[in-house]
Amino acid sequence: MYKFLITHLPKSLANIMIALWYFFLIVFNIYCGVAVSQGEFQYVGW
Amino acid sequence: MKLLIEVILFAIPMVLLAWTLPRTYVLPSQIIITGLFIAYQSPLSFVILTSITLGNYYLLHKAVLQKSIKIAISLCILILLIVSAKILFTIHDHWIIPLGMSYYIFRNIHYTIESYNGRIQNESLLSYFAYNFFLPVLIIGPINRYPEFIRDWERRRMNSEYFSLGLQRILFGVSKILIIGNYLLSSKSIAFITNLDENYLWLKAYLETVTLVLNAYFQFAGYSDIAIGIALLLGFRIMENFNFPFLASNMQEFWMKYHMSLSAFCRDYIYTPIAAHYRKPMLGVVITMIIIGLWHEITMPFLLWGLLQAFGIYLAFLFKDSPTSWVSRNLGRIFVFNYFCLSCVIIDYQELGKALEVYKILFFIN
Repeated sequence: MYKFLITHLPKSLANIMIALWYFFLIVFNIYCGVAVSQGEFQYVGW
Repeated sequence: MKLLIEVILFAIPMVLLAWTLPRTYVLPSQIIITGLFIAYQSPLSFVILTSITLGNYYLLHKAVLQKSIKIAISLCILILLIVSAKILFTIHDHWIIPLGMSYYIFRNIHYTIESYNGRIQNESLLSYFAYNFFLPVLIIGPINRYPEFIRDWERRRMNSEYFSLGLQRILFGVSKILIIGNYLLSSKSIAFITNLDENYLWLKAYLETVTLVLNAYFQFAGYSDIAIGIALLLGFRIMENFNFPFLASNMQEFWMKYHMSLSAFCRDYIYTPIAAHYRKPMLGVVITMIIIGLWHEITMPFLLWGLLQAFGIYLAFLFKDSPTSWVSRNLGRIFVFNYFCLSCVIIDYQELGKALEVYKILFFIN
């Protein structure tokens, strides 16, 4: 994805978009972890 | 989620020690932390896995016996162990297979066969233990190979590139498990399917089948990503387990992209010897796929699932000479995805009666 962005966008903009993408993933994972621990949905897996 | 968190928690001191300790102490520290992890999860597993490691090492490298006899004894014991563990697990639900036993035995079978082939000679007990007690791949693979593991150890790169790549893979892995597997597929998608009107029985059955398969795939791929990520933090580059399998245009290609470490193991140690000896590639495929099925669980649904996979590969053999175009490749992708999902109905429902009911709905049979 980084390669795709860097070839189509200016480097600084690509970096910002990648940083936002990782930020989104981290926040969403934390949200899911909290939701599972509070029983909002059941965790399936190991 | 408990096991996932615990693997990551035990990996943290392992990574810290790998980056701070002198090289001589890194492997012992990894063995000790992995040993502590196994003992913490199940002391019995620790005893069993340690005994297998010590026993197999002594037999292969120290016992005064003819080489072929040593290899035969080792293989017989390992196969007997995995088969008996799987059968006992199937008969008694409350029996628990020692932690990571299925992968552990396959790694040891690989080690034994490669010892026979001469690719592994006079290895130290420390490196053998480090190979067997390697936390990232311990529980659900990938089934990494010994020569590659040792090569990685010798050329170990502790640099920022591997470190950031490792963190990225762990983040992607956790996202696949939590966001796609649990949040989108297990929670939202299942809720949507449950609320569908009863008139859409076919759609309900189809979506449920697809959701179960995708969930299993993303969970498994997520754990593999975490394993590869932790290994990268430790300076090891272990083999990939998935390579966009649902983009494969036939079942043969699919099995080269899905659970790659298992299919590569089975290709090298089951398919190739059988196909070469009997000059019948399809016989090799059928036996290999049956073994892959039974490796998951020794039950009738998994046996049938293995046979269905073999049939899928047979179809790929039949059409291998047909001309390929953009349309045929994409039609092939649709076929592979649906064929694999439908074949998994047998193992999703575990009982053949229930699976047949779902098949009747999916194929409009009254």
